[in-house]
Amino acid sequence: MKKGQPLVVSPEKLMFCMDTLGHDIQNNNQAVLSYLELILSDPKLDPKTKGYAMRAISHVRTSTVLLEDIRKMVLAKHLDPRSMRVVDIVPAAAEAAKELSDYFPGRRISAEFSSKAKSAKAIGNSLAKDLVLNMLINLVTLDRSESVRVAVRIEDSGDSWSISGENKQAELLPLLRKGDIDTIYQEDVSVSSRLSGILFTKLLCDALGGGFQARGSGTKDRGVVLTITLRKAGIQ
Amino acid sequence: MTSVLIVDDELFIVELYRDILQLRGYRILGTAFDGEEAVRKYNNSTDKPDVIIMDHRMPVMNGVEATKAIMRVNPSQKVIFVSADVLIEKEARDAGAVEFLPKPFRMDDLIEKMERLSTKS
Repeated sequence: MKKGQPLVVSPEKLMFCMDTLGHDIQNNNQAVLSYLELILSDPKLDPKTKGYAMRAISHVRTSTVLLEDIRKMVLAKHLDPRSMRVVDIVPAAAEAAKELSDYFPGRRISAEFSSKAKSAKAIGNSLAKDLVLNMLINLVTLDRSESVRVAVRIEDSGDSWSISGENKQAELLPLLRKGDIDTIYQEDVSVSSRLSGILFTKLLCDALGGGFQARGSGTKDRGVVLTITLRKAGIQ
Repeated sequence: MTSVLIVDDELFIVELYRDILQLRGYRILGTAFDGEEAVRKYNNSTDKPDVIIMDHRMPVMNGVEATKAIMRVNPSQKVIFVSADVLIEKEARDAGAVEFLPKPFRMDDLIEKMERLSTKS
């Protein structure tokens, strides 16, 4: 490379590096997670150490989800909803709700799932479950309580399915209160802190041809409803 | 005692599986750091493993190709495919893997699958 020449890296090379680095980080996360599980399996472990190990597990799990989000975000650019598999979001959302507590082993998490529809076919591939799980993780991270309750619902919205999650104790961050999530991109990253998961969910919903909304519920400061909309399968 | 062949190119992952599986009473029959070594060791061994834990991204030969090669020798061989690459699941199952675990997974999930396969065999 000539002196003073700008460094140009092709998107393909960047994607390859992101993918490879992501893969290696997941391998390391696997080792951290498993050795922590090994420590926790000792029946003589004192409660304080046990608590620390559980918190560490929670952070490894969250780091895993964030890493996967980055990898998927890179792939989202190339997503074509027309070529995606149809998925039933009722079992996918139920499974995501069931798994939610695994990501926060140091806290009491309850996720109540309900759906009037027995089956809700949408365009979304395996990403549909990831989206719901991400949405629910966001609802928990917006709540600092030890005990967290989240309600997950699927509703028919005409051409699309709405999957909403509500946490009555969660705090709606000031940037979200303004309404339009897309304006967050104009803000300094220091003020958009704690919103990475929400930005990811919105970006992926858009890539799938659906939508994402965050709004307050209940009192002025407390109560958040996040809603994902996914296009129904078979509708042009 | 259920015997296991561990195939992964990362030494620390091989050591991790070995530590945990030995603690849970499994016999580690062997280890391999790439698909080709796994196939060679499998073919040369008279004592076949009950279960193979197979990674995907490895030098020389990947996990899918190694699984296919092993299945050609023994179509009833039990292979648990583990990978940080979730998009490879279909290919792994098509190659003959009976189980797939995306990394990182809980060790209890691996043990549960190992026990289920041991009971079947």
